[in-house]
Amino acid sequence: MTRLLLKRPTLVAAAAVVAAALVIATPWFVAEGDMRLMIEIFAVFAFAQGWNFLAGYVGIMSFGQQLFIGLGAYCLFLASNWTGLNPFLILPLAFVFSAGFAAMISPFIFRLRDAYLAISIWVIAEIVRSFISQRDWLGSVSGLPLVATREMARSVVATSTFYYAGALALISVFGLYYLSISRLGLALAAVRDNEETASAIGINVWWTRFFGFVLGSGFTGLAGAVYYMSVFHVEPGGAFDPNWMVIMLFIVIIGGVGTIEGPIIGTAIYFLFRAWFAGTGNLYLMMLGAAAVLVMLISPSGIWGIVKSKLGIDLLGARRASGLEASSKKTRTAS
Amino acid sequence: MIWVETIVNGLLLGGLYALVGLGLGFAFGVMRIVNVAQGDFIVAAAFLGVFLLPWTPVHPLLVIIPVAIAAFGIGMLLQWLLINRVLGHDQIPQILLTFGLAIVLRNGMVELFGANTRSINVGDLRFMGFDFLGLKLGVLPVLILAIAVFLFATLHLWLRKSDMGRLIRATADDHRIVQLCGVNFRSIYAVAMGLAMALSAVAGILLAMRGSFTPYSGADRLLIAFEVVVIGGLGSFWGMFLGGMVLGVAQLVALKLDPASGLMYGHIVFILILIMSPSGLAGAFRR
Amino acid sequence: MSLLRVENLDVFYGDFQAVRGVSLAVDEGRTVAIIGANGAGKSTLLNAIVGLHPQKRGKVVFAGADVTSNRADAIARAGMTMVPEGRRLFGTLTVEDNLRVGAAAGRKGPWTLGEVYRLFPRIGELRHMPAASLSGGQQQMVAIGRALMTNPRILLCDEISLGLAPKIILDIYRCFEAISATGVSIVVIEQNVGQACAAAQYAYCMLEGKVSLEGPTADLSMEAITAAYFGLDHA
Ligand SMILES: Nc1ncnc2c1ncn2[C@@H]1O[C@H](COP(=O)(O)OP(=O)(O)O)[C@@H](O)[C@H]1O
Ligand SMILES: [Mg+2]
Repeated sequence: MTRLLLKRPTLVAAAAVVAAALVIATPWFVAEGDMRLMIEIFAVFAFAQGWNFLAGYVGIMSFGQQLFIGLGAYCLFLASNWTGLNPFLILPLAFVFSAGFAAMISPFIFRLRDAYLAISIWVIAEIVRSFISQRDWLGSVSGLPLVATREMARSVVATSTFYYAGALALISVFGLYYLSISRLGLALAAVRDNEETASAIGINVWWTRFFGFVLGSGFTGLAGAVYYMSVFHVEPGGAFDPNWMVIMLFIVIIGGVGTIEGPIIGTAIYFLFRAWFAGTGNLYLMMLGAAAVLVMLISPSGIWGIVKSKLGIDLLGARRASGLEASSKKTRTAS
Repeated sequence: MIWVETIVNGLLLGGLYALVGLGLGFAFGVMRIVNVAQGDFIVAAAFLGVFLLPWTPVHPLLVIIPVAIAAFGIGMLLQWLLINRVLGHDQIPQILLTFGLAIVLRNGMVELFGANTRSINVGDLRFMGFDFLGLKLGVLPVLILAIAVFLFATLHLWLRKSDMGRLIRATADDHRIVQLCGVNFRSIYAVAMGLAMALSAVAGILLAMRGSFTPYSGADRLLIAFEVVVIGGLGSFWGMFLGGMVLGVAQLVALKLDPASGLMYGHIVFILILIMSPSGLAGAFRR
Repeated sequence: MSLLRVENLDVFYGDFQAVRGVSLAVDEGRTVAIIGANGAGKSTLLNAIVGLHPQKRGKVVFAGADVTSNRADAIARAGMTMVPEGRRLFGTLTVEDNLRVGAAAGRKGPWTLGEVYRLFPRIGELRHMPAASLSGGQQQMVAIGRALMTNPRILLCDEISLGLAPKIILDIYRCFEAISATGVSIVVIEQNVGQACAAAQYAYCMLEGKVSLEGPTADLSMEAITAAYFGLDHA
């Protein structure tokens, strides 16, 4: 068992190579329409994994990650429209801008904790949304088109966007795995589990949380830019829509927060749900909410948590339990 | 004079905002629980008010009484059946549970009642006004402020003087140790959540009488409540009142300057206060 | 028959076992001491007995009923309560409100506000002060008073002498005679061997989660206690 564990990073590397090869080959076998759906799935998966990283690995719960989806998208659209540069080349700007914004707000919001921290990010998202909605040079409520992609060939745009979305998905799985077994990942886990113990062993708690928050939010911004690049148009009501949060939460909670596999399962369930109940409108959102409530009552560690404890399977778990699992044990013992 | 009137009206609105925050702040103060569904429960209370209005005798304002009682019961049930099951050292399960509940509630209301804008009709009261030192004020806003002050003061006194109030304060101090005195802290939590919901329900009805609401208003209501509590310094009783006043004034002054801004400047004031004083206004005064 | 009987109790923190197979018995109206060094598992044992710590195996029988899996508040209402280590008063409440919370157990008996103030006249004078503003010794008296207000049949006291001046410890221990006289059984937990054994008729010594020695205090020699306390025969 120990030998298998030692070899796991190598096995994961092999899996990553295979997965990357699949992504690269896809455009040759898949129709453009299906590729669009895959772009959406990959992007939504990346949103969810970004939130999962914050909640399950950094220990920061946010109800405002739609802020970074919108910021990343707007940053890319504006930069490309103003300078005329190819959006595919300046995509990293979306990461830098979102991460920079996250770095800027963290000194203030980190003064709050738990739900208050979560909601303060939502407040900031609301401020940014209203701000953009009232500025004509930002497209106001009707939003902005992405001008540069109009002149490009459709198939080139689709394929390039697909590769970016595929890269996001790969990073969401394998990047997160390697991050979680790295020094930073272990420091994050220590801080998440117990801040006093972490600082006692010489970890700077504030900077670790800061770094985690900036990294996760920057990634969400990047994913937001890719998502909106694939729809060619961004408007404040959609990009900063709190329903993004509902979707991210649903995916992560159902699958299992603090695990890499959980959100993969969650994303699959979400898109199946959507395909089956798309016509029902509110009923479908109600079911997402009810499912979250049920999971919290039955097994706070989600579907993957159940699989892991019942079958003893653990593919990409870098360490022991997620924060939620560890604490639900505590819950049972404390009275 | 127009500015003085705006500020006074902001203070009147602020009293109501403080009441919107009171339920959230009280629940947090006693149980360290944040009910993310509070905003949507506030809207649900308003819908219940609309529904009960035709059966309300004497005066439409009295509809707050049956709604508050119903909200108390629902709050107790919510705590007993759901939140008490996920209590623990970690806050995440409880917050996600109420978040899920908020989504169910909001979309359920859209499904049942449609997305139209509504309000609770209080008849002539809505349009009555009077002159006070040269200021034109509405009767309803003043009445609402009076109700808010009354509820703050009553809750304050009840917590100080009554047996149940004492148990609630003891539980807030140390819910583990209070068990050694034969007190089941889960029951106390249920009572506290019932009260929090009843207070929020009253705020919801009053908001629906002064203005209007849709099934989607819950998010705005929650943000107001949350800002009131944080500005007030997390659980400080009269600090919350101050927080409501600050938000009310900020919002009305901003609306005068920029009629399309909605709640944006209220949010900005909140962030500014957070930047300047991490422990809210109450903290700024204490230092 | 004993008022409190503990059989083979194991108590855990997650995977770590802090109490290993402890058995003990306390008769009606008697005073029993449990002594042991810091970390021996005394507080853990007490928390498990009064129902604050649910992760346990074994049996706790109180007044003839098995209360092993009962909640702490139900156990308190049945007549067993504890003065917790470190006093743990409700800091924002006044002294009198702290005592009144004790009365919430709703048990009839000799202990009322007046009786507690008669036992500890000093805290009667301070009854309108916030509990957090009192000195350590005064807080300890309030903590004992709060527990008495539940009118317990058995009172478990966790290190009430911790951090107090010798004179105040003496004062507090003198009060135990008065408490005992009302028929209440008492269990005192101490690191301070002399104090505890003087007050008790029977003593248990704990070492690394186990009972390493027990007997009537009159029969226990100082050498035997020292050996059991520090585990010298293990070394
Ligand atoms: N909350 C806890 N979590 C894990 N271990 C604990 C906890 N509290 C106490 N312990 C451990 O249990 C053992 C017994 O502790 P305790 O009962 O407090 O001893 P005592 O009261 O005799 O000083 C010690 O080894 C201590 O480290
Ligand atoms: Mg101890």
